[in-house]
Amino acid sequence: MKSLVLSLALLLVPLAGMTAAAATETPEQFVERTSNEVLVILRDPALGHDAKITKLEAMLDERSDFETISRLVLAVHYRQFNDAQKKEFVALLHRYLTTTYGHQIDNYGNEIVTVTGGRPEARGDYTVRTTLKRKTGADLSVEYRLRKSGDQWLLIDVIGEGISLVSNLRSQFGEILGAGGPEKLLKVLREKNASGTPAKLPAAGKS
Amino acid sequence: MTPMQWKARGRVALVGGLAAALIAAATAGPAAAGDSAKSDPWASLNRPIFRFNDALDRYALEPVAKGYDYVLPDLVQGWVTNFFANLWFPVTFTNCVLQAKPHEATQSLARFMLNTTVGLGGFGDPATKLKVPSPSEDFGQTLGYWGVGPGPYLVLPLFGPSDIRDTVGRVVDSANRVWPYFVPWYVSSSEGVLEIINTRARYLENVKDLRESSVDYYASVRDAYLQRRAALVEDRVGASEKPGQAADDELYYPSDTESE
Repeated sequence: MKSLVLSLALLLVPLAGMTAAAATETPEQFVERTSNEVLVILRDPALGHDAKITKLEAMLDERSDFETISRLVLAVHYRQFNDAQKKEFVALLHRYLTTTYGHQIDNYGNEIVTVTGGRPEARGDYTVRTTLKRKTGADLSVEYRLRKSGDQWLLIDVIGEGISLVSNLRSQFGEILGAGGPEKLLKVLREKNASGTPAKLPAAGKS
Repeated sequence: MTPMQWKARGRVALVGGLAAALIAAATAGPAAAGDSAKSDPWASLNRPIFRFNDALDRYALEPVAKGYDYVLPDLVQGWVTNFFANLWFPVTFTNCVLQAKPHEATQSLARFMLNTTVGLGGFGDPATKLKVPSPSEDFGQTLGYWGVGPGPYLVLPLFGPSDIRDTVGRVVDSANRVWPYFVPWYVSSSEGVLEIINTRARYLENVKDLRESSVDYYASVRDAYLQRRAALVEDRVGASEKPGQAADDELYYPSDTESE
């Protein structure tokens, strides 16, 4: 049970692990190359904490599909958002992921990523499977879900030890949306991003 | 009747009774991750218990674990971790057999024999150095393997996240640990405390990070628990991993957002 907590905490490394892919590259090569590039950044002694975050964030922007991630995370609530709210949500989610997981990057860099395979998913998606070898503790299974945009693979989910980031966020945001709708969620995320500290645990569920 | 026979007989009766209770649990419907209304009908009960557990952790367990972590070198903590992991052998082995996984059962047996002997009573872990995989099977997974659904999500006081199936599994497995057979209760309960503190100390950073990064800590832990358990039951992760299983379609193609 505890290892799932760990794998959630480790999500930043793989999430930031995507960079430009040539059209001819297989999804496995794409993930392998970009994982290695992330580790190079993490291990670079010349880069400070902020410089690393800036570099990883640039990679994240370039190689993940935040529009789709936002849509998957909001799921049934997506239609309640007007265009301005959708736009703000995408920006807030981006900021949320980079700030909340970003401060943990200094703990990482000694890991070894091995691509162990992949599988085509429904409707053209592709999942690449990797193993994350750590200095201490058991190896972790990390999967990347990719979706093609034009001739480019883009990251749409990271699944650490069987735990999907998209599903986890959907679960967290769903409770807030159910209670207060889009404005409430945007407010919670704005505050969360501004404070960088834990959000208050919502009161006991209404249902 | 010796105490040992009594315990064995008690276990059989316990398992029999639980098997009957399970048929009810199985019909309670699946706890699907991501859909809180379906998977967590008892949220109004679970949330207060979760807050209680969390407060207990912040004020009692976490400080003790921090002290333990500060005092004991990582090497020694590793020995303690190995020792307790080794004691789970009967649980893992039994459940590998119950799930008709002879390969994993053999791995589990090999690990136990190596680590108990060469590993000096389980404090060392030569099996991992020799790349013997470490299967992770428990009775909750065995029930899932044979088609029993998880039932509603349930937060247990002190024990934390669970569901109906895993609560039954926890009771059955706890009767199957190594120590209850030969040590008096006061030894096994203080060992239990050490195991809890040692485990908590291993995840100090991770729990802190998850607490701070979550927007809704309760929902985050619930979803992680349900997803992780489903992945273990379906062998999508761990030593008995079977690759190539398609993921949840509803997660990646939610029906309400298809039109753009």
